[in-house]
Order: sequence, then structure tokens, then C-alpha cells
Amino acid sequence: MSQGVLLFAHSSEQVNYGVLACWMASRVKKHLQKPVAVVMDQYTYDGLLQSSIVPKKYFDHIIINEVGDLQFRRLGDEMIPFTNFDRTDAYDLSPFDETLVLDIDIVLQSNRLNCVWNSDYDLLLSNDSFDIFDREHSEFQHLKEHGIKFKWATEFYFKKSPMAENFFNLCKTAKEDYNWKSVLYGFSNWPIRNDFLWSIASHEGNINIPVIPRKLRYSIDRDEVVEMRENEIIIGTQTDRGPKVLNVAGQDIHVMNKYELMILGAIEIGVLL
Amino acid sequence: MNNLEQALSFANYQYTLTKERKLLTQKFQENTIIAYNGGLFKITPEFIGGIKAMKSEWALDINNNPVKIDDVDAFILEAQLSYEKAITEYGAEFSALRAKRNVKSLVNL
Repeated sequence: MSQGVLLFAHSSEQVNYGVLACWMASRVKKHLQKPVAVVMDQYTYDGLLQSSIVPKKYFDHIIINEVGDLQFRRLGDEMIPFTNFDRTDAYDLSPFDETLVLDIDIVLQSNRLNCVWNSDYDLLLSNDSFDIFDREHSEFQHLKEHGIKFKWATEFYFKKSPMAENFFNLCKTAKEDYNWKSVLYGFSNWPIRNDFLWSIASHEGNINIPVIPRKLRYSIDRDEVVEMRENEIIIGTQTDRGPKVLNVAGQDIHVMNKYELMILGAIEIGVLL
Repeated sequence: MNNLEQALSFANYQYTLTKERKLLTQKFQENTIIAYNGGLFKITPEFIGGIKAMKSEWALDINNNPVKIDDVDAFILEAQLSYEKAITEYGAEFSALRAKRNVKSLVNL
């Protein structure tokens, strides 16, 4: 059974997701020691070549996949374009029998995710999470108050199997019917969020999907990455009680401030942006 | 430093210490998960004691799936070693954290 990590990278003018994916791949190789496949569009691939990056150095498989419309997401005070429409195709695109899909803004600092390989499970999702500064974000608990439970599409594992295929088919259906689902479950119909698709598929499929055995720790987009070292990251934020700073060492963390992560990631792999 | 500044500085220190302790606890919890024969197990002293006492060839994993334990003694040993490693690391990091007396040192800045 082949095993590997699948990443998705579609660059925009503001964020070079290609470079971020290279940095992420280097972290995967270091901490998980698994092959890495990346799904990117031609624009992202060409961007890497223009930055004098040799993609083959970082990725074992490069899958060129053109995606459609751009969406916009908040990054600090700015709205930046992004596209993530092909995450639902992870099952079809993955070259591995066992696949761990990771967002490229997860800072890998441990090998804990290696516990998923060779498991009896066809699909493992990420349910529980916490903000490192302990702020409450109800949007990461339920799709709306008293609504269906939130699932992260940030990290998940699947095995090529009918059960996993069925789950991704449900995700695709939810994406096609996103307007109607947004009315049904009471959330905004734009932008299309993969987390919501995962949540809807889990709910409608009536599948009790087992979870990756850990709480996903995260910092939000307006938090500042103060410093990133080999095995620790220092993150700062403004609270109503003044500035606060925390050190996350030897633990993986989802850092939503992609822009700063991209700059520090590029420095780490020695790439000039 | 006046009293108010001192109080604010201490509050900031306490805040950071509390959050860093929580992060260490979460890390310890993660480190006590092991994969065995297709199952995922949360190792606790109670779990190890239970397996030792029962010597059962089956154990429930964290998702309540029964998993066949081919070699009970080897499984117990693996569980014990994993727990020992996790608690030793937790203990060392926790002690180091408690010895730090200001925010800068707490976050290694």
C-alpha cells in the first residue's frame, strides 16, 4: 500500500501558495518522512519556475489541475483572492492508496500525524480544535448556533475505499447544491468553504466518521508570526488586555496568517520572493 | 516599576504561563496516542493496568473499535514505553516552564 501526503496549492498575486507548498513539503519530509504529491495549476507551477525553484526537488508527484473561479477570504484587514475548489477531488487526484491531506498553512513540528498510517479506518477527519489564545470561535464548533457540527478540511486521512469515495461524492454534491445547503443549514453561501462541505457530508451521510486523535491547535489570520524556528513558532496577538505572545514548540499548529507564513517559509527553504 | 505596572506585568506572566501549560498538556495528550494493529489507542496508567490484568487478546481503541492484540506482552511493553516517554518529556518541559520567571523567557524570545 502506497502512503503519502497530498497538498493543494493555487497561487494568487498576494500569496505565493506554490512556495508555501514547497516549504510544507520540506517539513513533511523532515517530520513524517513520506512522499509528497502536490496539486497545482499551471500559473502556480510557472510561478515556481520563475522563482528559480525546482519543483521536483520538493514533490514526488506534481498534478496539474486547473481550477475555476476565484473566491475571496479575509487576511487581516484585507480581502485576498484564493481558490480551493478542487479539495473535493482529493480522492480522485491522490496517487496514493493511503493519503493524508494537509493544508499548506499547517506548521509541522512533530511526527504525531504518522499515527494514521496502516489504520483500520477508511477515513479520519479533524473535529476538535482550540485557539492557542483561548478565544471562542463558534464558527469552528457548529455551522450556526445549534446547527450541524463543524469538521475541518484542514487535515484528513483517507484510504482508497468505497466508504471514502462515498464521502467525497457527498462533498461534491454539497458543493453543487451549496446555495440550497446554505439556506437549509443557515450559513452564508459565499465563499464556498471546504470545512462546511466536509461538515455537511458527514451530517447528511449519517456517517460516524472517526477522528484524527488530536485537537487541532490554531491561530487566526490577524495573529502575527513573530518568529519561526526549526521546531518552534512564536505567535503574537492583540487582545483587549494588551499584546500577548505564545511559543508553540514541538507541536503542529494551523497558522491562518498565510502571508507571514509564506515569507518565513520562503526564508527557511532559502527562496527569494 | 510602580504597583500597577508590576500587577500588569505579573498578570501578563500568569496569562502566558497558563496558556503555555495548556499547550504542553495538549502535547502530552497527543504523545500518549499509539497506533497498533490498525487501531488507535490512548495510553493511560489505567489502560495499561487493565490490559495487564485482563491479558485479553482484544482491546477497544479510541473509536470503540475492537482490535486484535496478537502479542499482549509486546503490546503492554510498547504502551508502557510510549507512556513513559511522553510523561518524562512532559515532566521535563513542565519543570523548565515553571522555572522561567518572565514572559520573554516563557516564550524563548
